[in-house]
Amino acid sequence: MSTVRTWFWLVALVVFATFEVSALADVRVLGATPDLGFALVAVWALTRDQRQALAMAVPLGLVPGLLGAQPLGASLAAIAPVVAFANVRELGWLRGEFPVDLLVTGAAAACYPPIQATMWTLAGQGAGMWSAVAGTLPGFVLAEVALAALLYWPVHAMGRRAHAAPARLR
Amino acid sequence: MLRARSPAVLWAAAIVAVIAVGAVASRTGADRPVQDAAQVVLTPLARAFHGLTQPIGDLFSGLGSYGGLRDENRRLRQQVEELDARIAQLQGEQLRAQQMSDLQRVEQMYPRERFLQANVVLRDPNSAHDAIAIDRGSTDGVQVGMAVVGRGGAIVGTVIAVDARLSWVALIDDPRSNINVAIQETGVTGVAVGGSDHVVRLQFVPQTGSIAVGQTVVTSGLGGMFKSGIVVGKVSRVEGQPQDMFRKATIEPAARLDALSTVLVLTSYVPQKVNPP
Repeated sequence: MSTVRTWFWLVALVVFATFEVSALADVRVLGATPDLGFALVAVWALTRDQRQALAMAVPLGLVPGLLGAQPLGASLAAIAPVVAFANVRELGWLRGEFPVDLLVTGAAAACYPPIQATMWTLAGQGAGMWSAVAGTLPGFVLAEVALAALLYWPVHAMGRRAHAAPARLR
Repeated sequence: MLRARSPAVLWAAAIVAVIAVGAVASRTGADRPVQDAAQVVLTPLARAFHGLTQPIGDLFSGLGSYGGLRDENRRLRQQVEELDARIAQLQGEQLRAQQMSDLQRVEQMYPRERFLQANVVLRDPNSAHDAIAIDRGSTDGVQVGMAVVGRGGAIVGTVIAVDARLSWVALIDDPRSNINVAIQETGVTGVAVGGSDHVVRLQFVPQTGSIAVGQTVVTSGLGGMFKSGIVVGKVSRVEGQPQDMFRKATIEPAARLDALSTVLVLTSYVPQKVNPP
């Protein structure tokens, strides 16, 4: 990727993350606030390039902390594992693409709130976070799976050639 | 699978390091300068996004809470209805208090007289007449011919029909109304007559009598039908020609005849039918 393209994507992702923090913060699904950036990284990692997905996770995960919405790096810690989860698709006993990808996204999403709560706790701001985790977990997982389903085909179509031989972390 | 020393693993390690540094920085407050610098750029952007998307968010939020909004709407409608009823009740009480105050004032104007307060319950639909029905009748002591005054103490009409609990009052601009009156300033007498055009005219004033616009017209007491000295109105226009047998004038009633809600029946003065000798 050229330097210009890299900067373009960086700025675009920062703008996207800012949009998410400012515009989507009030959206609630079963009490949980969905993370569109998480769904995007998940679908990107599952259908396109895990290295690119990991790179995307950095601006998407850091901007909420930079805006003071949460401890710095809390979102990054919660988003990044989904890239590793993407390797599950390589297991031989899982067949099919779309359902498996949603399943993997759901599993990674289930880890998101506890990881974030851990980060809040490590930052010394964890009061009340753990009690909220149990209540919001089902809604968050459901919302992320739904968002991943919505993003799946556009992202898949954008990198059809790349998907033919998706770059995996090896 | 992730393999050690691959670029991706180094990437992952770097991310873990960033996360760890972020957590420590957040705990110690060392992230504040970085946040402050980032917010200089990102906060205007965030504000712009929020401003642009808030209406859409409100729409979806409204759709999501449709059931709650419907319940709230129903509850608020009920509340508005209750408050409207309460306002109407308070206005009614205020009106009654005002009327009581008016009654006291009229009683002070005529300390020797007794008045019976009555509510106007009907208005004669016949356009040729101008009569009202009051919720007092013979059981309350109302008799035909009794004078009825307004809340200001000026005469508004005469009782023309009495039932047990209801009486009809011909207002002074009703064609059936004839009241013996006098000009207060000069003592010149005449008759205040209602007309089909609902204008009160002063008639049968001798040519020698002086009438001028602005003079006060009061009941004269002649004929025994009315107590003397009750205000009728003011002369608003003098009519007639010098060769006429009697002078004429138009009277502007002192009481507002078109907005009567409460009146007072002068019950202490019983009309006397005076027959000519």
